[in-house]
Amino acid sequence: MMKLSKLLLYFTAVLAILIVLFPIYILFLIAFTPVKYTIDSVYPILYPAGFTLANLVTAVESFGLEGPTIRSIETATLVGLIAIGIGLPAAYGLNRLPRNTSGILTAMLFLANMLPAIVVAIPISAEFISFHLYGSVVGLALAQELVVLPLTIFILQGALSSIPRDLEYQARIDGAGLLKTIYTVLAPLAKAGIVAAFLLSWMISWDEFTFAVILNPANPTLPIVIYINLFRGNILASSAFALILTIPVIILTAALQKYLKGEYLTAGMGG
Amino acid sequence: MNKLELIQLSKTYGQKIVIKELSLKVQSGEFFVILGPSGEGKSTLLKMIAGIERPSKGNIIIDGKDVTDLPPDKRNIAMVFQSFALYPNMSVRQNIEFPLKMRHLSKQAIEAKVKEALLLFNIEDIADSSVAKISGGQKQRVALARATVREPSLFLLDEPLSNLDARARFVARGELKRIQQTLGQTFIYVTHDQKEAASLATRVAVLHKGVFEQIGTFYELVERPKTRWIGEFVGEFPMSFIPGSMMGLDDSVEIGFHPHWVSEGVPGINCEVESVEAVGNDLYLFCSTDRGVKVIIKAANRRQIGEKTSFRLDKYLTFKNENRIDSNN
Repeated sequence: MMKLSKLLLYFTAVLAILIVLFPIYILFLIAFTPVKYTIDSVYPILYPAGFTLANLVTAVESFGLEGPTIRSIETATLVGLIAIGIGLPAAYGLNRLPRNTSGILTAMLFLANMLPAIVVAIPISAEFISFHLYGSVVGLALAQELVVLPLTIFILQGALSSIPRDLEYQARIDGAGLLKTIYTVLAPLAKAGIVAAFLLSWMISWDEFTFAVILNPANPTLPIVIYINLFRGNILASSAFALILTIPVIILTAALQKYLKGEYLTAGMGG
Repeated sequence: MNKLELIQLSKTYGQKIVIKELSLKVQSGEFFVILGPSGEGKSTLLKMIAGIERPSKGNIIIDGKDVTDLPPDKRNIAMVFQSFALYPNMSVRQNIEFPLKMRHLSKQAIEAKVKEALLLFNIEDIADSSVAKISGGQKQRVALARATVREPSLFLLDEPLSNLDARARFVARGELKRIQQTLGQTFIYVTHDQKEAASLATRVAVLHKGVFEQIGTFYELVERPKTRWIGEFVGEFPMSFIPGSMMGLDDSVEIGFHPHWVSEGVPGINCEVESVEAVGNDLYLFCSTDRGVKVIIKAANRRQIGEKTSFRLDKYLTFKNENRIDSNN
């Protein structure tokens, strides 16, 4: 009995993993298999019948890949940096307020997230045109902060609240000012939370679609280019771009695993 | 000159009054102990002196300068917390360096001072260890080393020994006294532990209901308590109180005495032993008198529970309405 239930457990786990990995497998299949077996075939096959890099080369050569990739990296990194730069002092401040007040304020931060992004994006793009932020990396990054910042602040609040107050008092008494205390004593202790918040922000921005398509149609990021190519029937180019979009996420998720195990996420939940 | 002066200091949280118009003057070089039961606002008072808590009213003067509105980093004080509050991501050496670095001392000066502190506290061998890997007693020394490494005008210590086990606490107590005398500095020390107050303090202030109920040497607190509450709070055992009529006075007054003020086994007040407690070589009897009043007396003879005995008061104090009204002997 014991054996059977264990077997079932493994079977289910493997099945779940297969289901999750299947789209990624198809992506790799289309990207690296000669087109005659995949998208040019009436009956596309599900196993790698051959290997070629020609697909990628064609995609990269014929559809400007460099621009969108660099733009995506720039935007995501800027989003992560702004999120930590603003999020850390904000989280510190919220933690210092009476619990009731900070609870209400944190909930209000998520209000912007409750509205559909498309509803928010339209007035923002109108404003951005007048600020000359429309179509720029900075403008897009600022818009994406609407989604990212509440989450970042929430994670950082958890990370900071797990640090004993005495340490902060001690730093102040030892002669550190408020900002120095936050950056030299609290930040190193909240390192895991900060790294997690940065990576999460980076990844949210990396595949963010709605703000990107409305605010930067002329200078598209990777998700938009994939969308445009799919729309035009360029499946090959889409797969190549999708591959580029996927790889950093896989790497970062693996890196994030290490930090998501920490206690700091639960620290925000309890008393 | 006064090292520290508190003027009409008050702290309230909403309706709750924690510190009530408290005034105090501490001289330079004193080992001043603030003694009180838990929850009487001792730590709050210390945190106000440190600048972590803002007083609701009143002023704090350090070295003749009003620091009431200054943040902790501008007050030039050092503090040792009950939790020691060592920076967990730094080594012992880095912890001790931290206050010097914050004051932008030169590299050579920092090195020299840290070396001196490591020597003074006998912790050179663990200088490069992580603070997570050292014992409680060592943590306490590191915390003290970090506090003493710069020359603050005032040391604040918040129950720094309560996280140590009994043996380490005894050693650390002697160490603290030695350090304070070596440095010749002013210590403000908060504790609920009478032994610490008795062995360390040049003066003790007992905090009760937001005010200092009595300030004096520990000996004065034991021998001449100003109030009934002090009598019950200070000393190895609480003072015992019997109605005045038992000593030929009227019942509007109470007679208070410590266990060691009696001669047990001589004719006087009769009582029955209800329990016995040994402290070192001494035996203390918890007795009930003929009139049902409970008293604690020091035994002159070995006694069993249920045995009848009697005692005479060699010394006693008279209290009326919670306050001492005379001072016999």
